[in-house]
This record gives sequence, structure tokens and C-alpha cells, in this order.
Amino acid sequence: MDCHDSAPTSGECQHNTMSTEPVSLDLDRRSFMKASALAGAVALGGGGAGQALAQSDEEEEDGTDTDHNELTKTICNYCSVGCGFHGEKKGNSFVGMEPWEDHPVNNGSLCSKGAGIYETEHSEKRLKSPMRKVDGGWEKLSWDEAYSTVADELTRIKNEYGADSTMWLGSAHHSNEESYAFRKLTSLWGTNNVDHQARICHSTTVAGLANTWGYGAMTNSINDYRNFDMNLIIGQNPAEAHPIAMQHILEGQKRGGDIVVVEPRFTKTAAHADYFYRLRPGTDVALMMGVIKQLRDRGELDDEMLEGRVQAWPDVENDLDDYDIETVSDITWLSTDEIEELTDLIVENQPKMQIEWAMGGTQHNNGTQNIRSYAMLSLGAGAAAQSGGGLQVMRGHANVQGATDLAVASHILPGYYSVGSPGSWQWWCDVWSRTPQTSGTIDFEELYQEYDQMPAEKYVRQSANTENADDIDESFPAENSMMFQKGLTVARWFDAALPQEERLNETPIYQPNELKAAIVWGHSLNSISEMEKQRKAIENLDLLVVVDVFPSVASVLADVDQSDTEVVLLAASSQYEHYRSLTNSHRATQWSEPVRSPGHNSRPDLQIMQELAGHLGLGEHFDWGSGPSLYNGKSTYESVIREFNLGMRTIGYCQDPERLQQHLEYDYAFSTEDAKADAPGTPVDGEYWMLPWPCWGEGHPGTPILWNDDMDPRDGGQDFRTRWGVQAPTPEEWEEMSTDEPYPMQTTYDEQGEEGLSLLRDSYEPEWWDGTVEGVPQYPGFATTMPDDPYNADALTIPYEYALREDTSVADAAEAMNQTYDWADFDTDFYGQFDNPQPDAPTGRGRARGVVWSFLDTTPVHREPIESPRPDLVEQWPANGQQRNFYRLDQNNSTTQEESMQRLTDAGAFDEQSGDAEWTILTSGRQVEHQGGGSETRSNKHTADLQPHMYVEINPDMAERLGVDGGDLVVASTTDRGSILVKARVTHRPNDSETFFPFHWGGMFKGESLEDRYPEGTVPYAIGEPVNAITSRGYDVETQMQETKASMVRLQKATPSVVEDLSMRPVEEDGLSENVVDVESYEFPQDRDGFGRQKDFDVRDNSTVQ
Amino acid sequence: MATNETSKQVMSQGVMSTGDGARIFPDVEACIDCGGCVVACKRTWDVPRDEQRISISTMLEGQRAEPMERYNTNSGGALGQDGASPGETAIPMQCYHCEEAPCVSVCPTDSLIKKDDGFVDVRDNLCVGCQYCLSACPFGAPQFPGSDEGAARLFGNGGTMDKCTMCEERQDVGKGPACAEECATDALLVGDAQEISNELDRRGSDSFFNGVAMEIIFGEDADEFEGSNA
Repeated sequence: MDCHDSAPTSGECQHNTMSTEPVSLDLDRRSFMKASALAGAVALGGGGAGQALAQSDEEEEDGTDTDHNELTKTICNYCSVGCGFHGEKKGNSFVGMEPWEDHPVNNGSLCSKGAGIYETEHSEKRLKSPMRKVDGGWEKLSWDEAYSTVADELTRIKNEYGADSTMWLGSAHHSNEESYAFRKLTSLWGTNNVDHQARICHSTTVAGLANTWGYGAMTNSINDYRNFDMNLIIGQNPAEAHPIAMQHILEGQKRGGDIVVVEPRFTKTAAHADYFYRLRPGTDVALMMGVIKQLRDRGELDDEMLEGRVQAWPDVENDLDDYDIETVSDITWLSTDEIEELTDLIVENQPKMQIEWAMGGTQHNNGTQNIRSYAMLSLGAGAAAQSGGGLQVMRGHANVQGATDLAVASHILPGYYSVGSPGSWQWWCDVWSRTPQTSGTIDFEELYQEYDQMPAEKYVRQSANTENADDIDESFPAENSMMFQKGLTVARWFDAALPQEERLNETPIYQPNELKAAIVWGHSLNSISEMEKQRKAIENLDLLVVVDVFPSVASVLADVDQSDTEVVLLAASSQYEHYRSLTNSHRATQWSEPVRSPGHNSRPDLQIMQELAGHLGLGEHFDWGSGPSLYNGKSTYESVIREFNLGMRTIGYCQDPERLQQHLEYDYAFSTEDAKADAPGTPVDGEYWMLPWPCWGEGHPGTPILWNDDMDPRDGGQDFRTRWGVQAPTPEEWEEMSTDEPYPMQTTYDEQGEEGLSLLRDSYEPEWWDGTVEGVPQYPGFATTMPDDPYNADALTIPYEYALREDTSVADAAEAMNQTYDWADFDTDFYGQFDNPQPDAPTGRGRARGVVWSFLDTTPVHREPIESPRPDLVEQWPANGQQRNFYRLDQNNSTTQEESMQRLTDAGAFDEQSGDAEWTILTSGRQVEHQGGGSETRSNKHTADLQPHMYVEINPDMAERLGVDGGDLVVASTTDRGSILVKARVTHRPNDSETFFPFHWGGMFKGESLEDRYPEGTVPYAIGEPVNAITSRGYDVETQMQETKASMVRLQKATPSVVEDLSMRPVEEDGLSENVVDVESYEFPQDRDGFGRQKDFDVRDNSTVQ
Repeated sequence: MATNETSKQVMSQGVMSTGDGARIFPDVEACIDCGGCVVACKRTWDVPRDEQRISISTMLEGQRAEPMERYNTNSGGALGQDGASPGETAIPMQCYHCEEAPCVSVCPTDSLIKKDDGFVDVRDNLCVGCQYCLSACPFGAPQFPGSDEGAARLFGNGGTMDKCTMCEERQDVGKGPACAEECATDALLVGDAQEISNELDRRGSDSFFNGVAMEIIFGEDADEFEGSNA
């Protein structure tokens, strides 16, 4: 069975007219700002002589006298909206911030995190130099010493145990250049054990969507929120996770659109909704399928979309009868009336229905299916592939999209080429050799030698079909080479550093040896579940390297001895201290300028990678840039971009840096309506802000809305990818594939015959074309052809050119390829069928798939969380079963579920709850003031003051029963992951059967403060317990996403006897206290230092809360 | 049920005009309590950490409006209606530089004045920290960051009062207040009373303050705000 590794991808624009209004006070903001600059003496009065109100090492200026300082155009590095701001530079100092009003996405706005960037840059808590853990604390290292230590250890480990005994956790906060370099480094060094936060964020989105229609990215743009008639926000809280997106969402509402929030809590977003439906965590599939069934029964499905552009819909419909309205109501918490009402809303508003989600949809053991069900609803309602519709995938961190595209992921190479295919490696070795941006060259055969092979006994164990070790074909390229095996993920890396009996399901690890080293590069370990296991895993490592701007949780989680584990911290510069490009949630690759040069003795991540590569003997492949501006200058970063422009052919990452810089220059020309420049006479006319991918190269304006067939591809239009060939497998072909699964498209085949297997869209007559446009396959060689001149990386290749041209067809492209390239041998009989000249995207014109025949669940299926409050539903809708060698580990959700549910039963979780302790649902999520693991924002005095504490949200009724007041300490316990100690926040947000914990917290662990483990002066202003110490152990069966949105937890007030039982001891001046936490007088450092005194923890105290 | 009339911008930028006679006023329908204003202000003026010149107060956190369809997106409309509730509403609270500023009336040392250009200023050298202004202000604008230190601690008074200046120095050079310029959702409106009330009308948002409060803030201009419980 061919497995299409889901690659996540995803990625839209509008018109603006430049204002020609005269100078007056009544202007819209943009023209006003420009007028004030132009008007000189008139607007700039005598006031504001630049009094410096702050005494810091850089003279901070107040908000007035900024006009003679340089204003940079810089992109915020917190969330994935990608807001811009002006950094004020005075010489080489960063002295202030001003709104960048011409940025078409945020128009000058920032949330508390973005507004606090100045403070983060200047925070005294930053890592100021490399450090090493020694007995009793930390000592400073020079960079040379640090590199020697790390490189020597890594080399020793590689020699003794193999390169796969290292795990490289990369970062969604890395720029595109750094992400690319990171993946290249591990590729050349010899391991696929490289991954980043996308795994635990939207990996299920990518898998679900890419396998439905070809790319797994956000289809429309953030600006396009202005155009919905209905925005279904399910499992997301944009008011806190993407505040500036609300600017556009609220505008869409003001224009007449309805906001419908489906969510376990009444969030800040729900406070602005037109409709709110409370959903039990983990039941999205049931609701979606239930609603689709209602639409089907009412005859409201969009037949045109389904017949013309979707394949295998009959098999989706087949399953709908399992989701009758009573069943769905029982599962989801929505009443039957509410389900009907939701259906009514869709019927009234289709087709301009947007569906928006984030972790609420993705972080489940069946997360991929949740996303598939959203896609099915969008297709069924005819809402896909258009402005005002589509799937608004809101990604989390600033560059999780870019880091995913550039493949900081253990199953792919940059551009989503699968590691399992030797062709992918051949391709990238060619790119790395041919690119003039680096001096090194490498043969595929040569690189292959760097990789170990999977030992035979492990290899046979992974597949039911390979009984015998003799069957392994070990000739080059061997199927059991570690080069072709997906690597470990950030979700479960730690299992590979623990003895077998401590691993989940006591799994073997499918690589030569256990892990001996982990490099935690810009990643928070408290974003990952199973923190207790991570702690133990670190203790078993020989080397832990942490690269970050602030000492993250990884630095302090485990209390290790230098003799057992070498711990090295490398001080990374912030992302505002160098040029960079990064890709926001809607696929725009933004170029950003630095506000200053690297602070303290820190170095930019790219520089560290280049230097480390040098120490590992790979320097010639990382020698981007030259001269005095090596490492920090523009040219280094531009050079990296031009290298990956050459190779990222699948998704059209061909945005030349000069074009991106031009967008910065002409920022005022881009409209906030659709992020498009309507500016005749300028070089950016007709382009979309920062060329959202796919951008096929020179002259292409970027693709604002994926799959939109209403637009000419030359102007940014597209169609569903013909990614799986022109026809789905027939029953006969299925028989021949190496699978025992039943044929998954039987209903379709029965009803529609072989025609129902076609993956080519129906012909149609678009408005933008004078004639018929037909369904076509992907253009031959589009993903495997480099531009002829490697210096001109964004030149159109033959497949790209022939696709876009209106006078050439697929058949012409095949012929041209065969004539031009010796290696090309495209089947002209096959391609000859497609001889209609028409403009296309190189990805063809195919159909979205109702059935993903390579998935364990070929159509969406509801599955209960591993820890569910409904044992009866677990019986009927259990999790998936045994998986072997899934990212180098076995996995068995159903066993884990059975065992978890048994433990809960034994603990009385399903009995009548009484007394002062109560079992309830645990769900986790975000606070607007904090980002990720929180090491940055909790070390920023403004955001720490705004949101000073970790807490658990408890409904007032539950608080009443537990005898808890807001601000009291409570203990949250689980069956077998231990307990954490957190403040109670009594609020109506959750209902009576659930609780909510923010996940940004660290610096404490299970009642124990970790303050004394931090390097001196770097303890964050605010610390708290990480909820991921107690989240449960479900993992998505397609991507290994962690199930952090639904667990079961027992809450009780923290009394002395309770904490005694749990042995929660705080840290005092001379070490761990003899006595347990005195909950009466327990003081967090933020309380000691008077942070956030204005914060309220109980809605019952006052009529308002802050 | 919705008919989105695209390409017809409804919500303007929050800063509509600045300078003489400018007022600042929140549109609570747009405020999402993101804290951008709080941090922008603190950053721009290096405000002491435990002082909030602007702060967001949330009413009815976690609760829907009653009835939901009518008032969840028009909280102001629910005020004064029997049995109705505005549901969760985030209210930016700061000094509104009131036309009929009660703080100015009660200040025993005349440290607080309403200037000709409309700004309400506190003159530090005259303030004795009696905190009468805090009692008088319906919005809690006066802040006393020094109340835990030095002489204030000895005498049990507030230290020198500090509050939002509506970024007077920025407005002098044609810039808007930092909070309003950086507000994520253009929820802080800056302009004259007419501009503000027109904008609220365009947005279909009623004012969230009652008639008495509106008179204090806007004086005679309170009449501009029709149907606003004035």
C-alpha cells in the first residue's frame, strides 16, 4: 500500500487605493501618518523633546520624538498572524516601538505579547552567554569551548551508538532560513530524528487536509475573514490565540456575517459570537458527521461541488447513518435542538461558510479525523475553495508554517518530499550540490553511507507481512536503511531514552540504539505531555543541549549531575536581531528587518548552526554569506532563501528575497481588504503581500486562496491537486496491493462504476477563460525539475511554464520535457490524452477525496478520548488499535484506553462524586498574554504582570462543592501521572463537568519549585505548574499528535494532609525543604515580588474582574 | 442569517483624529481583552509595574447574553432592559478626560485641571495623595503607584496620583495615543464626540455607559449618543 505521507501545507489577497487626500486632521490613519511626515513643521510641533523616561542600558524614548530615528519593518515572532511593527533604532540601539500602520494584516495593531517585544529584548532574564551545568550551578563558557564540548560529544555518540542516538527538537520560532539549515544539518549528519512543534500543533491538520485535497495549509487568508457569511469557530479561541485575526473577523461580522462558536468553554471569543454551542472535548467528528447527515437528509448538500470536484462521496455518505441526531446529542453535549439550529445556520449561510480551528480540533487521538470531518462539511456545504469560505487553519507559533514547509519533521525533507523514498534524497543531494549558495557537493550514495541500518530483528517485527529476515533486500538503497525510516517525534522522543519496561506499551525502539543526546533548540518541553518521563529521559542522556533566548524548561526540568549528563546552554539571539523570512498562517513568506544587532554574547540561530556544522565537518554545506556581514548580514539569509527556492518544487516556494524586500518598500500599496497591491506603475502591482505559496516563480503573484478555480492561475488561482494519479484504485488493483483491509470505496464503485474512481475534476467554463477548462494531472516533472540556471532559482521550469501558459497543454509539457532532458522519459501515450491548452497551476486539476484509502480510518470516525468521562461510549466508539513501528515506536491507543479507563474506574472516577474531591474533564489551552512554554513571556515584566499565575478554571457550582475560593491552591491529580498544585480561578467559562488549565507554565514541578536550578538571575518573574505533567497518553494514529485536550483529573482543595499524602515539597534557600508545602503560606515568586496584584481569581467577588 | 456586503469597510481605524478636543472612548463590542493597550502604554511611558493607566474590566465573565442573539454582540443594548443581560463584556477603563470631570471638582489642591485643549491633567507638585479623585471618578482612573513607598507609607496616603494622559505629547506631534494605535481590534476610539458617536453608529454598537456617566464624560455632547441610555 502506498502511503502518502501527509505533508501539511497550506496557504490569499485585496485592493487598496492609495489615498490622495489633503493634509487635515480628518484622515484615515495611513494617509494621516504619511501626511504628518510630509507636513513637516505643521504637524511636528514643538512638544516632545525626547525626554527619556526610562533609565536602561539603552536610552528608551517616550512615544514622541521618533522622527529622526530609523524605523525598521519587523515581524513579530509570537503567533502565526505575523503582525508587523516598527522598531525604533537610534544608532545600533533598540529604543522603542511604533505602530506599522501600512502592514496590510495588522494595520499597526499588536496584542500584549507583541507590544511587549521591547521589554523582552531588554529583559534581564535573557541568557547572556553559553553556559554549562556544573555541581552547584552553572558556569560560563566561551563559544569555542561550547562548540567543542557539544561537537565532541555528538561525534563520540555517533561513533559509539550511531547518529540515531540523538534527537533534535527544532523550533517553530526559527525563521525559514534556520528551519532549512536545521533540517539540512541533521540530513547530512545522518539522522531523521528531527522534529518540531508542528507535530504537537497542526500535524493532524496537515495530514488530514493534504490527504483530502493535496496541501494541508490554511486555504484562505486572514484578511479574507472579512468576507464570511458564517464563521464556524470550532475548537479555537482566536481572541486569545490570534488577537489581531479578530480585527478581520469582527469586520466580517459587522458586514453581516455570523460568528458561531462551538467550544467546551465560553471563551473571550464566545463573548463576541452570535451563537455559542458547548461541545464536549473530543467529539468533533460526531458533531460534523451529524450535521452533514442533517444536510443530506434535508437535501441541502452542494451537488455541484460534490459531483464536479469530489471523489468517493458515496462512501462518506454511507457512514452518515451512524450519526443520527440523538446519538450525536448524547456524545457531544449539544441538544438535538442545537444541532438542528446549527444545521439551519449552515443552510442559511452556505456557501460562504468558513470553518476555523486550532488545537481544540487537532490535539486528539483521532485529530486527523476531526480535521477530515471539517473538510467533509466544507465540501458538502459547497464552501470550499472560495473567498468567504474555505478552511481557516489558524497555526500557532510565528513560523510553524515555514518550519513545517522546510521540513523540521521526522518524516519529510524540505518541500514535503518523503524520507521513505530514495528519490527524495536523490533530489535534495542534487539541490545541495548544484546550488551555488554553498560550496559543498554531495552524492546520494555518499550520503547514504552516513546512515545506519535497522537491525534485522527489529525490521521484521514492524510489519505483519515480513516474517523472515532473509526477505530484506539490503542492496543499495536498502529498505532497512535508517535513511528511509521516519524518525522519532517530539511527542514521544523520550520513550527512546527510557528502558523498555518504562515505555508506553513497553514498545521496542526501531533504531539501532537508545537516545544518548537531545538538542532542544527553541522548543519548550512543557508543551509536550508526559513531563515526568521527559525528566527521567534527560537523566538517562549523556548530553543535553539547550539553545534558546531564555533558559527554557529543558534547562531545569531534570536535576542532573554533570558526571551523568553534560548540560550545555547556548545563548541564542532573538529573532529581532537579524534579518529573516518567516511564513505566517496564511502562507505569506514575510521578510523582516532587525531592530538591533545580537545582544549580550548571544549568536543568531543560523550562525550557531553554521558554526556547529563546521565543527562537525560539514561546514562547506553551510557557508552561506560572505565578508564582514557573514552571519548577521542580509546576504547570508538571502543566500539560504535562494538555495531552497531551487528545491521546494512541490509547493512553489520560489519567492526571491528581492521581491519580498520590494513588498516592504511598497507596503502602503497593499490593501487590507485582500492583501493585494493595486498599484499600477509599481513593481508590486497585482501581487499578494509576501507572495503566499504556492508562488511558482518570477512574475507569479502568489496564491491567496488555495483551490480557487474562479481565478486564473496566473493571477493566483488554482484547483485541487491531482496528487494521487488520475484514478483511485479499482477493486482489482486493491487486491494486488499489500493490504488486508477491505476495499474502502465499495459504495462509490457500486453506484458509479469506474467513473466514480476518477480523480480528475469535471470540465467547466470559468468566467476568466474563454472556453472549457478540463481536469488534468499534475504536470510531468513539476516537482523534480530544477531551473536550468541554478543562479536563477525562481526562473520558471518547463513544467511550471507550460502549466501557466494558456497556449500549452500537459501533452505539450511531456513532449518538451522528453526533448529537453536526457533523464526525462514521460509516457506520451498517457500524457498525450491531456491536450487541451489552458492555464493551470502545475499541480493539476483534480478532485478532493472523500476516502483516504491509506488511512486507518478511511472516512471520519468518532473515537472517544483515551480518558473519557463516558465508559459506555468508549465501548461503542473505542480508539484505534495496534500500530507497529510508528515513528520508531509501537503504539496502541485502544490498549492504552482500556488500561486508562480501568484505572479511572478503580479510582472511583465514574462513581457518584461526593465529598471534597471530584473527578472531571481536564482540557488545556492558551492565555493571550503568554506564548508556548512561556519562558519568554513569563520573563517579561509586562506580560507576567498581566497574567501572573497558573490556575485551573473551575465553574462556581463545582467550586461550591469543593469548598474552594478563587485564589486558593488546589491539587489536580491523575490516576498515574501524579499531581500538580495550582491556584483556583472560579469562573463561568467552563461548565460544571470540565476544567481548563493554561499550558504556558513551568518553573515548578509537582509542587516543587525549580527556582534554584536556574542560572543566576534568570528565574522567570512568574512560575507555575505545567499542565503537561498530567495530560494523558493518547496519540493520533496518523501523525502521533498528543492528546492534550481531553483527560480526566481529580480536583480537591490543597489542605496540609492532601499535600502530605502527595509529598509536595518546596525549595528553600538551602535546598529541598524537609517539610511539605505549607499551603496556608505558600508564596510564588510573583507574589513575593508583587506581580499582578490587580488580578482577580473569583467572579463571585465583584461584578467585574481584571 | 447573514448577507455580507463585502468591500464595504464598516470598522474604521480607532484613531480618527487627534489634537484639540480629542476624546477617547471604548467600543466594548470590539474589545477582546488582549492587553495590547496595557502593554503599549506601559512600554511607551515606562509606567511603574504595578500601576495600570489603562486596564480592562470584564463583566459577567463566561456568561452568555440574555437573550443571546440580541445582546451578545450588542452589550450596550441590554442595559436598562428588564431581564436582559449583556453577557461577558470587556471594558477598557482609563481616564476619559471628562468634560464634567468629577476628579477636577473634588480635588482640594486644584492639582487636577481640565485644560482648554480638553486634556485633564494632574500637576504633580500640587498633589498631596488624598485620593479624593479616586473616590469621585466613576471609572477608577486615578492610580497611586507610590502608595507603598516612602512618605506615602509613613503618612498612609497615596503618594502622587498618576493616570492616563491620552498621550498628550504624542498628540502634539500628530500621533495617536499608544493604546488606541496598537489596539488589536480598533476598540479604542479617538476623535471628537461626533466622530466617536458616528463610528459607534456605523458599527451598530451602543455605548456601554449609562446616561449619568455619558454626561460626565461628554457634557452637552452626550446628546450625540442616541439610544445610548443617555
